[in-house]
Amino acid sequence: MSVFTAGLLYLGKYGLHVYAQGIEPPVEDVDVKRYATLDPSHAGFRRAAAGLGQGRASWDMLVDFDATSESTYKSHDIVRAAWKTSDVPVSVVVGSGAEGDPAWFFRALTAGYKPNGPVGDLLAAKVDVVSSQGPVVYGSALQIGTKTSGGNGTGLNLGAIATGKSLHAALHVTACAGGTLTVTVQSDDNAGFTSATARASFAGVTAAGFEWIETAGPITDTYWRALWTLTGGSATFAVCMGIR
Amino acid sequence: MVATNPYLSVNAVNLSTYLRNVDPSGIGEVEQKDATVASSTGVKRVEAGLEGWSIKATFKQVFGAGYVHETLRAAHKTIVAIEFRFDGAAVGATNPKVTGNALVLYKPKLGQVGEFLEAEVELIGDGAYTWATS
Repeated sequence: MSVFTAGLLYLGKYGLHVYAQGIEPPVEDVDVKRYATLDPSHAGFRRAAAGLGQGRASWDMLVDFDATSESTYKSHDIVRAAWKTSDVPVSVVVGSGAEGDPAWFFRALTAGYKPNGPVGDLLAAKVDVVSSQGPVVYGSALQIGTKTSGGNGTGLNLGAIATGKSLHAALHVTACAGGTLTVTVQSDDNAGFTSATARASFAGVTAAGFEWIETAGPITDTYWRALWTLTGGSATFAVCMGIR
Repeated sequence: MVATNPYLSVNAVNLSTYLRNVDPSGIGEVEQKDATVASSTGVKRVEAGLEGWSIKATFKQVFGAGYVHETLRAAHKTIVAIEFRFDGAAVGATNPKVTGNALVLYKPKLGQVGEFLEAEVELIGDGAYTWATS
């Protein structure tokens, strides 16, 4: 059994894992519809269907302020900056951010910020986010870290995308200076990526930011990886993908 | 009989090895319909209405193909085959099984740092279920 010892939490262009103490992962609450029909094959029983889903997540975090610099964000400023804003990607990664680590992500409205600080205790807060559009995606981390040059991941076999399903990819750039970072999600039908095709191309960025891309299936390729280029300087980013 | 080794499969994947707790108490719920009629007995009369059923389970979280997360993630919001037994031993007269189709609601749990990773699932019955001894 695995103990939760390390994880990564991103809200838009910020990493909050240095403050977060615990996370309820993006769960999709589903409005279950119970119904019954005259169908003799189900006589005497109720049936069930999935209604609308709503993603939500919450985390406990330490509260830190930075009153002196607008550019050095601390947890209070990060959450306040996202406050009441919709469609900001939230990504939760279990592990240290290796390629293939499980990731949950969705586009969220930051809807709750509840600081709590009894005298003598660490100042803490509970943050609630809810999905503002689109599904909660159960996927994988493709690439997380600081880069000073271009490169690509080794690739993961995450399966094909059936008709009606889509590729969802979230990019969080927490730092970028001295060059342009361009991140692409590629697929291929072989682990060597000898015939790679770009499936999600994020716009080039020169500063911290975030982006979300959806690409509709069907896509028969089963191998997936991130590829990035950097014209100079350094960039720190996290890119996650999943099929839903 | 003490339940030490319950069995639960979801979409034909046996997840029993990772079961922390299973709550089958939602099996066998029936709506009670008031069927009271004029009578000298002075009591209410009820009859059974429609049955609904459900099972809740908690697993230790395991990632990777064929394990808890992948199985439940893929089945989330879909209706799949379910089998439950009070014991993982072979089905028989003293170890009946419940089978049916159910809507899967997957609720992964991370929790506080330092705690075990767990996964919860709620299985909402879609149509009939069956108790069988073979």
